[in-house]
Amino acid sequence: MAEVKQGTITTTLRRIAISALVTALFLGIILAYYAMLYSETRQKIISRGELNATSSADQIDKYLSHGIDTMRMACFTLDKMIRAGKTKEEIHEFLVNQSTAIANTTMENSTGIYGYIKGEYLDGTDWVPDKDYVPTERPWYIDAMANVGRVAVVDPYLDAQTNSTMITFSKTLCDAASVAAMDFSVATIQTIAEEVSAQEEGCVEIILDRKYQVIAHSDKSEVGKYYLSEGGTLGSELVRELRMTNDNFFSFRHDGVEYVVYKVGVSNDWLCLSVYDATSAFSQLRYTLLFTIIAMLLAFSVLMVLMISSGRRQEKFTQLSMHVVESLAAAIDAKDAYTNGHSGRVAKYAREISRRCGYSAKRQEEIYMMGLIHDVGKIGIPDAVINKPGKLTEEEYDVIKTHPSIGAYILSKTKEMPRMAMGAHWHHERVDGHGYPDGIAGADIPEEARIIAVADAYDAMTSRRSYRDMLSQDVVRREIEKGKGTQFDPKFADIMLQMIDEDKDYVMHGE
Amino acid sequence: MKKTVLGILIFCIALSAMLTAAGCGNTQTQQPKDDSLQKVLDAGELILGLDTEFPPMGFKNDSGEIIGFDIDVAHEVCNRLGVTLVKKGINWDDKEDDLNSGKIDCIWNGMSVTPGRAESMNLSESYMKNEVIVVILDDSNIEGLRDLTGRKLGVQSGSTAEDVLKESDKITNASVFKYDDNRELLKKLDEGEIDAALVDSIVAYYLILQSERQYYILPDSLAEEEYAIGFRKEDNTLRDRVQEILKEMKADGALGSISKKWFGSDITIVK
Repeated sequence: MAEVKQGTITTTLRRIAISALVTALFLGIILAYYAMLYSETRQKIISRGELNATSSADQIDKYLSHGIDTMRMACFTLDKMIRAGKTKEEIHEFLVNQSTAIANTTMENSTGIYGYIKGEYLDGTDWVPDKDYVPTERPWYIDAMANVGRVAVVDPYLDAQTNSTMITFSKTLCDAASVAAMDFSVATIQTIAEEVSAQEEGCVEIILDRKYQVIAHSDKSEVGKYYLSEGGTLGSELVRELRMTNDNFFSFRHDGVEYVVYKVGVSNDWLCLSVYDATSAFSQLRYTLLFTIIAMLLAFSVLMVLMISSGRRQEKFTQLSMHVVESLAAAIDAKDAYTNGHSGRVAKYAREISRRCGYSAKRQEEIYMMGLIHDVGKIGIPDAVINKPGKLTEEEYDVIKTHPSIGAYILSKTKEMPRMAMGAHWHHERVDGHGYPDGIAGADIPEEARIIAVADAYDAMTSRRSYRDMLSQDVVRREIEKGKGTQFDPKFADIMLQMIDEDKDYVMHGE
Repeated sequence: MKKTVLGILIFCIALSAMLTAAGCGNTQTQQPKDDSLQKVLDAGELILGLDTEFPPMGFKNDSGEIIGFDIDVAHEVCNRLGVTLVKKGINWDDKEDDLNSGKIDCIWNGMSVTPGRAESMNLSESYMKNEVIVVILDDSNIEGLRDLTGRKLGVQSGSTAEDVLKESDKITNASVFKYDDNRELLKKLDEGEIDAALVDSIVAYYLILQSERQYYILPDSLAEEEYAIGFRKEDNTLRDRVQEILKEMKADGALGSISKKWFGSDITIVK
């Protein structure tokens, strides 16, 4: 029975290994799914960011380009006037006319054009400067000159009169010394930023200029800050990441919050950024992952419990089958007064032989069971013949020779184990083909039957019979030796001889 | 049976390991490590090649010293690298040959970015914008680009103005005159040898403002360009380190101050 227990342990180990493998597989699948969901969520945020940033940038572009185009057209005419040698008065008149037009077409976002033209300050908006006003020292003049012909966008400043934040477009004229300029309100840009971010939750729109100064921000209090020179703030972190990457989007962490940013360039080197607080989206994902894993582990524990209990039940069933067979064996042996315990011993020997052959535990058990019931056919033989004390007549011998076929017939009922009949059917066959009932030879005889044949013969010789006593070990050994190749399969006969030689005290038959 | 289970287990582990490795395909493309930076550090000097008549980027002043915006920036970069800046005047036409032969380590002189140059050299990120503009005398009757048809135009040889002119479809039938440097180019315009000069706006403005003569600039520019520093194609570590320093200079304002000194305002476009 110890062998049976060992089989159970290895089976359990195997079951645990398979369960661990399946668990790992499922875990892998869940993690892969989570990674996919994570990247998909991130992608969604990025797409939303792209949409918002592009929409803001487009609106701002439109707004700015209106001003820039107006500027260019005015400068074109001014160039012509300078080259044609027009007087200051004529130029001033032009500026006044243009300014009226500009104020109208920009819906008062600009007051008009002014400039330093051919050495004099001219203003189309009729703004009169102080006596110490030096136009060539003003940022609009300096920036225009520095930008050598491109339209310069001057840093925003707060206009005292209108109390709105203004930027200035300025450009040099054809003589490389005159400059025309136009003030432009950025209130509209601030409105655009605030509107876009109001539509989306957790989204912040930021417009930065080339120096990373905030032109517009959904949070008005941030306008005017220089993010590049700050330290440790969200803005400075954002700019730091921004300067490091060439991609249109990136993510970074600050103060434990995860942000996803999408950037779009605006025509004049400004940047439009959509900043998303992605922590909530991602933390939700993490919770889902946690719950999924817990649910999976729970399901698995339940599965484990079910498997173990089913395993136990299966064991009981196997045990039951074994016990039934043993009972049957006892019933067989009970019929014959002299062969009490014969089936058990044959089963034992057969199992030992198969063990020495390297049979697996399962096959050993199978042969054991075959051995137990190999003589089941005897039930069909009349008591008088079986228990006859003297020598048998030929007729009576023939009757006994039918017990293998009868056994096979009886065992044909066990459809779950068709091999069970093998031992019973052919344990009297001989490898030289002179056995019964079918006269098959050599490898045609199933291995199990050949093994049982040797075991059966050994037990027959080492037990008392009605017509003789137990034979001595030498005689037994010689008989087996003699039968090698004729009655017995040489391989199994050799193993039997091995067992005999090890049984120095000749006690094996009594165990 | 146990062997089969073990085999399957190992196979699955190997498979998942392979998939993970493939999935983590986010391998950043590493630039091949070269010793260009180390060579410069060991030599203790960076040799800068320039056209010495390209104000205000790099030019000779009255005392014969080589000064300019690019020179000031290069000086600061070399300070931060811990090496000396060596300024070598070269022929602008031969700049690529001089770079590849090792006579100079970099071309840093208001060099415009072109696809061809990006191919044959390792360029830094652009640091300034520029246009190719047309300069005429104040008594000229040229109003726009179309008026340049059939006229005599001057360019500096080896400059992008030359190439831009060739590709332009607005100007046809023009005779092109090439000169060694921009100062000469303007002189020839003064003398009437050419009707118009095609120059980088940055140089044009500087020279015009210095001069006593009145020039005019046409409202249409021929091309919009960006300036970058050129290194040898394989000198990745050197280029990357210089780029890093430029970024630092942008962040701490050093770059902006140099620009203000030469142009009155920060017109650099370093990120």
